[in-house]
Amino acid sequence: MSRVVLKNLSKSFGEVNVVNDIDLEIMDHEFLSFLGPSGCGKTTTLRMIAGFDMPSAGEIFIGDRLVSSVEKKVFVPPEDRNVGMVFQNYAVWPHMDVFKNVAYPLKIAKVKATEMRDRVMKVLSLVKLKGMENRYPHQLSGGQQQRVALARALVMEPDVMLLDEPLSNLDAKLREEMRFEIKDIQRRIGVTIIYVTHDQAEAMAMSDRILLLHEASVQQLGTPRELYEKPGNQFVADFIGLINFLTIELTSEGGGISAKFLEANKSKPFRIEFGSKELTEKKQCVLAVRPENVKLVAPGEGYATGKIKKKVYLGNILDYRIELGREVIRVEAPSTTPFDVDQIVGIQFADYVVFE
Amino acid sequence: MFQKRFRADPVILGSTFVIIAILIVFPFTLLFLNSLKVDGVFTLDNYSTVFQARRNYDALFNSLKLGFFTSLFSILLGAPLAWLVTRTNLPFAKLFKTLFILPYMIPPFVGAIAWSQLLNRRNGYINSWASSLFGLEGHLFDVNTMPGLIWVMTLYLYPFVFITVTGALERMDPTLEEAARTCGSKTLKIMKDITLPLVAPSIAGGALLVFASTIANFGIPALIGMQGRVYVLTTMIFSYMRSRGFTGIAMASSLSVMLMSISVGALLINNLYLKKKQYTLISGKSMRPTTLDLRRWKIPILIFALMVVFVTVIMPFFSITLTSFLDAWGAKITWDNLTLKNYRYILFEYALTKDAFKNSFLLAISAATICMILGSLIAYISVKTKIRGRKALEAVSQLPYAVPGTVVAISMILAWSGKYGINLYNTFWIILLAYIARYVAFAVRTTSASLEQIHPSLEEASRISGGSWLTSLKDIIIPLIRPGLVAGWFLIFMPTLRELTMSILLWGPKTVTIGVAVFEMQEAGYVQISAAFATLLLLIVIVGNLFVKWLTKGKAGI
Repeated sequence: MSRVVLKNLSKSFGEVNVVNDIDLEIMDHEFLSFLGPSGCGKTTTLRMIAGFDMPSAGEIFIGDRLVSSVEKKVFVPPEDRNVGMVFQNYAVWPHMDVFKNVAYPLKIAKVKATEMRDRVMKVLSLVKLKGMENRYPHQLSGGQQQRVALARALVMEPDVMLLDEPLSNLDAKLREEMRFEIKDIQRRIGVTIIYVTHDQAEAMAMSDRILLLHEASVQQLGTPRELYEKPGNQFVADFIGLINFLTIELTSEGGGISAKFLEANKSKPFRIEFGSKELTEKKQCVLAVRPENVKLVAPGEGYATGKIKKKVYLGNILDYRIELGREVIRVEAPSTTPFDVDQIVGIQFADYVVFE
Repeated sequence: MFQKRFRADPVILGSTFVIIAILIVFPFTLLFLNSLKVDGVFTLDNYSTVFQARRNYDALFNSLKLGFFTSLFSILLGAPLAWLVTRTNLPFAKLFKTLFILPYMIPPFVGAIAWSQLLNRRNGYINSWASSLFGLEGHLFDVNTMPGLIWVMTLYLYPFVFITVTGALERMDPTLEEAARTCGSKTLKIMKDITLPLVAPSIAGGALLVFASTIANFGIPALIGMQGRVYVLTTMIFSYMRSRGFTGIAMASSLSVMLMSISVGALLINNLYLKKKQYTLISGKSMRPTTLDLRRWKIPILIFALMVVFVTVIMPFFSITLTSFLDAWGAKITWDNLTLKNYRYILFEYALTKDAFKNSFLLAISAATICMILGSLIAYISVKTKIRGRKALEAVSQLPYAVPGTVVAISMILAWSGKYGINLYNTFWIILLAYIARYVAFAVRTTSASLEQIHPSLEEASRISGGSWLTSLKDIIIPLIRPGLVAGWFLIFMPTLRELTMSILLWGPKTVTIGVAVFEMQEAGYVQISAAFATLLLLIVIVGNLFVKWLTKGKAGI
């Protein structure tokens, strides 16, 4: 089990940058996800750590060992890196049974037969495949094949496990089940895991930290809570969960900063936290607020007034669309909220973030 | 009920069944029955008579020997080449991939002519060159032997192994190999543990195709083997028909049934057993597999690859072209000995040429057109309807292509020589029927592949809009599969234009074809004239293939 360090890691194909200058330290025993839309560079970064892609610049350390450095001309091939990898399409060998698949890394490492058997059986019971040693891949379900792939990566006791969208080929129910199982296995054996996914719910549920990537660059690194509650930029805010963006205008006023909605009617200026900066002139910004953080109050109260355009009853909540001048925001309110369509209401925020 | 639900024209569809019965089932049944009959009584006597003659026994043994060794050498040549172009950093790998398939495009009998010019023991180019260089007495090589046959056969049939193995390696999910690398395995070990076991069924499948094609081939053993008195089943059947005329047909039938059993057996093993073992290796993502760096072996291997192209394509092509310009065959190659008279002779003076071109073009155009119409109907019945017996219909339509052309020709002679009321022997029509029977399989395959792409709702939408079955076929289905139809037409036109195996058994005084003309000239010793003819044929094949490639945007042709 080891930490993994990426230093100024970049990868380009010709003119196109697929990974742009990533600096990252993954802690020992950590579960870290690379999250982002397709084409953001997450899989390429993972394949560079595995050794399948050669970086264009930068360095990779696994443990204390330098495994890849363009500057120092170091490149350790994948077979010598001691990383376990689980592929999206399982990559379970169809001509070998479960036992042979899982035992393969040990066979390469010339582990003795008795020890091999012990280790394989132990890891098979860990992934709940005991009793299936002699089955062939075509006799297994997709979920079981994925467990074989997982066992094959675990059995070699790797320094770090790399998982490339391992659940995306499974159906929704199985996916959720496997999430918890992978997380559980990681807790029990304490292996460092780097997990690639485009599914934010998956990343939120499993990760200690998430590295959010977009257009080859790091957008934010943080815990799931940090990414949700304190998004570093508009892309992060928009990618994780639901959010409303509203245009506001900031002015300095009485030793603080006050904000006003530009598009909404009857917007009352309200105090806002905006660093400690003094503003010399008016400034236009974007206020980001999650639907559950908007409070509906009586008209006249709150920061602005809006008109209810739509109301949908969803059981636990009411889902509102409220027109604030030319902008429409989405509000999730308790199902006891009394307001109805066409009513005028006041708007207040429990929590929000301002982006310049 | 049926009519209301499908409204497919029962007359058109029904007659398809009848045509296939007359065209294929009837002649093949006759062939089978005829081999079991002596003077109208069922008996196995024919088979025991066959084996009383030592030469028949030798022919069978030679066929098996030739098939076995050709398959073996095709694996040894084809599989490594496939690995080189898909898994290493061999320079120009893409170009080589096309070049290694080229021999497949050359008609085998043209290849045989080239190699008998290069390696015949009296005055083969290589033999003469070797003896003048080393001052050898006599000859270095003799192509008219079993090893010579194996050599030429391998050069023209190894592409089967190359194509199937290249396909398997390209389709194989690269993560299967990457997974082994993360387990700590080195490249060569991965080849042994993962790659080779996964492509082994494809290698065996390609080799079985080579085996079946070798057994079925007529041109190469006829032009190379018969001169050295090396007979195989196809040439033995031919010599019975040629020397004894119609009376040889009993013997020919028995040998045909035997020939058919061997090649159908090989294809059945492939379809029933190996196809199942060919693991689904296809991945969703298309990633390039990591390639092996050949390092210091790069240049030697590149030279080897160039040698393969030189020997299989350039040398034979050069030999045929050179011979076609020679004034006197066997004399020294000097400027004085070069002439255009061979071309002048075949193009303007020799009446047979005109007949051959006229017949072959007429036959190829008619066969391709009729095959496409008939084949589309069969494919439609098989893919788009629920008519009982549709799968049997499709299977029967594939049969004549699975069996050797020699066998098809013998069945046609049995069926259409007047014994059952219609005598087409020695006419244009019997050749046409044979071509249609043999090549309708191509039409069915290309058309059903296109038809399977068409969702039933497209036709249903047309029916809902008020179109009849025939209107829907005309307005919806046919326009959608037109590219497949055109490609299929040319895939039949090209091989029928140069067909030899069946034509040689079926031609008459007025129905000489291109293949027959080249063959007969070569046999009669007019070497330069047959070379000129073969050169023209190669030109037609090349232009035709380029045209098909252009027409189908690279999807068909070689």
